[in-house]
Amino acid sequence: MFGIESGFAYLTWQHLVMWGVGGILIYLGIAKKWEPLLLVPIGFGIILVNIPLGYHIMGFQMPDGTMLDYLPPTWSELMEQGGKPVGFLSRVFQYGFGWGLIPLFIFIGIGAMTDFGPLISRPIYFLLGAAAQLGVYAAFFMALAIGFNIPEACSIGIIGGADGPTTVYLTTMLSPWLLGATAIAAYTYMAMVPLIQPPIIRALTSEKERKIYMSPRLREVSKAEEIIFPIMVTVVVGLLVPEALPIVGCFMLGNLLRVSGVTDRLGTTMAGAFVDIITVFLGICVGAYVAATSFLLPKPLMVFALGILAFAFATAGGVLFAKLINLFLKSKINPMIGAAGVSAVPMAARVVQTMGVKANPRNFLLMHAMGPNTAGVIGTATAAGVFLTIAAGP
Amino acid sequence: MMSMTANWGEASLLAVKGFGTVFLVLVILAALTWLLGFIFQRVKGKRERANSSTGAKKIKAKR
Repeated sequence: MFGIESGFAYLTWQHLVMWGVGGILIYLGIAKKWEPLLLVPIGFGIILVNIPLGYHIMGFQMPDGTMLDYLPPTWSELMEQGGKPVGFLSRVFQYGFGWGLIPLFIFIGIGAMTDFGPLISRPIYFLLGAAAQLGVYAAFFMALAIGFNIPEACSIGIIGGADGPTTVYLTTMLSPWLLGATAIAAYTYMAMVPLIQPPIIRALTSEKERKIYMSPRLREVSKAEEIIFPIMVTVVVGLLVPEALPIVGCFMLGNLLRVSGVTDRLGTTMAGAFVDIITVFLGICVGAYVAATSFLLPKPLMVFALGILAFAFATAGGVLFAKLINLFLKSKINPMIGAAGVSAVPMAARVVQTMGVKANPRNFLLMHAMGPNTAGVIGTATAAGVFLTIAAGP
Repeated sequence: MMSMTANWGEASLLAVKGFGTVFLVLVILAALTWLLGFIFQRVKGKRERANSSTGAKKIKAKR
């Protein structure tokens, strides 16, 4: 048109489908308020990259000089053969994800927002966070059963941890060609926790169990305990699972900045402006990685089906383990708090709180549910480290 | 549909090792956190007892 090459001639039905996918994510973020900070930029990124001839967005120059208007899933291998990113977002992607920086920066922000008080005051909640990792391994096996290889199965399994940045980090390291699918599945299902978890919790608990009262008062945690905790977790996890150290280290650094009492400025910045800026880049880069040519294929679509099963198994693992430890406890815990062992912070804890009040209006389970919730983040990070150690090798 | 490419022995080992390691790490963290809380609570309790006995002695001395 007027001597300018228009994108219309290159528009396919796949592009239109992806605009629809992007539109749905934006709709869910804005109208339903489901993880809007992520779904809106991801949705926009999907639309952005699926406009034909958008070389300056996510463009990639192949080793033979051919230009692509999207980043091919095998971009890192192609770069070794002489290919190079040419779009502004593909360059951000190259460093932000290729080097694993963006998910780790997000963890500093998450750490600065996290209150470990409930977990420190009742350390038994660590076990609920561990039990909820069952979903990770259940999805791992299911992925293998339907034909994914081990690194791919690890990336799909980690969706069960309900931890977006860990999913992104692990997938980038083990199977970058699945990044778009795993990231979108993780964030979409995290947003859908209020829909996914309640039926599973109801199916696995009796009304009597859901009514179990737990005093909202937790032991007061001293400042010294709050300061020692992130250092202790870093040292222990670092020594036992060194591959988990980048994630856990960044997470705990953010938390130390929050609790130290002398780095309030840093803590506030990490939990605010810093994490917001990184979140924009995470969202738009993940979205822009989801090109029609690499997404509308059987494998990425199967990731979605497995992702929801991973969430379901993780929820079930936490609830059933809470019931199991109740057999040994004098003062029973409400087994619903086990469901918060998936790391979707604080969404899973809020679901438990809502269900708890519904079952017994005297109950206030939020603080209790935050314990397994934060333990779940540490558990998922550790699980990712183990996957990296075993599946990727040294 | 079962995968023909999956090495189930390796996969099972990976899952058992993985879940076991995650559980072990979190159990160790739970134990250390409990110990930390126990120590700090005892120190706090001792301090409070010492403070209250010093306070009582001061009151007696004043009388």
